[in-house]
Amino acid sequence: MKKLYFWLLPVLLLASGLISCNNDETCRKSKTVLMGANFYQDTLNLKTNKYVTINYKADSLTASGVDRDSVIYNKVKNISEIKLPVDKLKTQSRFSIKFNEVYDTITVLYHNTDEYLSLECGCVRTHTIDTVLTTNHIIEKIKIIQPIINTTYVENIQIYLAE
Amino acid sequence: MSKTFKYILLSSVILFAGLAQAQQPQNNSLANTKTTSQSKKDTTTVPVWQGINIEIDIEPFIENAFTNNTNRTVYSYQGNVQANLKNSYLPVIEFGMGGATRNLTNNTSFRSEGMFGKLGVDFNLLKPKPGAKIKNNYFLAGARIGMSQFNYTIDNLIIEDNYWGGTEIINYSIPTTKFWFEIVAGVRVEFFKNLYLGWNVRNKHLLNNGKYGAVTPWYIPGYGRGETSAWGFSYTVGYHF
Repeated sequence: MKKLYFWLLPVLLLASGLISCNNDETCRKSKTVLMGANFYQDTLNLKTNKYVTINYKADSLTASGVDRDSVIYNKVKNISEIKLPVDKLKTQSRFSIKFNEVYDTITVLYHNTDEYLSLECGCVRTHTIDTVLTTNHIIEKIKIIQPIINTTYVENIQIYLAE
Repeated sequence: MSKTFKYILLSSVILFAGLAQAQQPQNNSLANTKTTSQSKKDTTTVPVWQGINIEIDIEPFIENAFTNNTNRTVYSYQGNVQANLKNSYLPVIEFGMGGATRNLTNNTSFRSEGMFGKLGVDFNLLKPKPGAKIKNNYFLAGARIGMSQFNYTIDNLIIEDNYWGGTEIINYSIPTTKFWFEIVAGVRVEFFKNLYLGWNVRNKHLLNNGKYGAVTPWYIPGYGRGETSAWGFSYTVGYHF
């Protein structure tokens, strides 16, 4: 009986090991990297006579990359946050954002870092924001809150709109 | 690692713990009454130097025959030299070379090749019956520290931008040294005079695999695969000198 166990167990162990050697190439990790931006507005509180910051909802918003044909958001109603894909192969991305009928262009300057996930998933390119520039037709200012843009969605920048 | 593998491993440990127990005297109460001087006599009759064993691991040949194909090739050649002290303590040096290639359908490929070595000790958990003839069968448990120095390449990693357009291809060629430790348990029996067969199971834990986001090898010679830990299985044939 002991001899049987001596031979049987290693065969079972080897068979189990062989079964686990699969050639699965599926990547189960997120590779989506988007810059998160929320809208705000500084409004004068008439009672206290001080400015307070409130969330802003655009009645209609259209956003796209400058010189790109396809739009990222197309006349989306009542929107207070957007997620924008920065150019993975460059260190600068320009976006055209239309609030109702008013256009502004924001320019994001950043540097890139490659994070290796696995052989099956490859690399994901993350970004660190250095500067954000904007035209001021309706956008008043932009604050950088979290400069690192990676697969975890966070509010990277705050876009303040004029009253 | 599949749950089935863990269950089989657990079952084998329990089984061999039982076998080890079976080697103990049937009448425990009688054994407990033996005098201390007799116990001393039993242990001191075994000379310290019991010779050395030289073994080769044939498991990789079996595994590779079943799992290697055009997209995945793993090879490993390894052996060990193990001293036997008092039939209880068995310090061991293991050494070998190994490598792997892996080709994905998106043309990403991995290649590694290098040498490895391990240093450790096994303990024989089978205690012979007092006064009985010593049998050259072993139920071994021990530990190893492993090291592998090797080069690996990863080619054609693709960074693709679906919105802005464009593709970039990244290639890596990295020399590296990896360390790990192993917990080993197994058996070895003398099937012919001075010729031994044995097998063991190993749980390996990588000690330096870099921080999150760092490029890591798909296969480490001597360690295998696994980001932080891996299971290994060896089937050995050896000769006792």
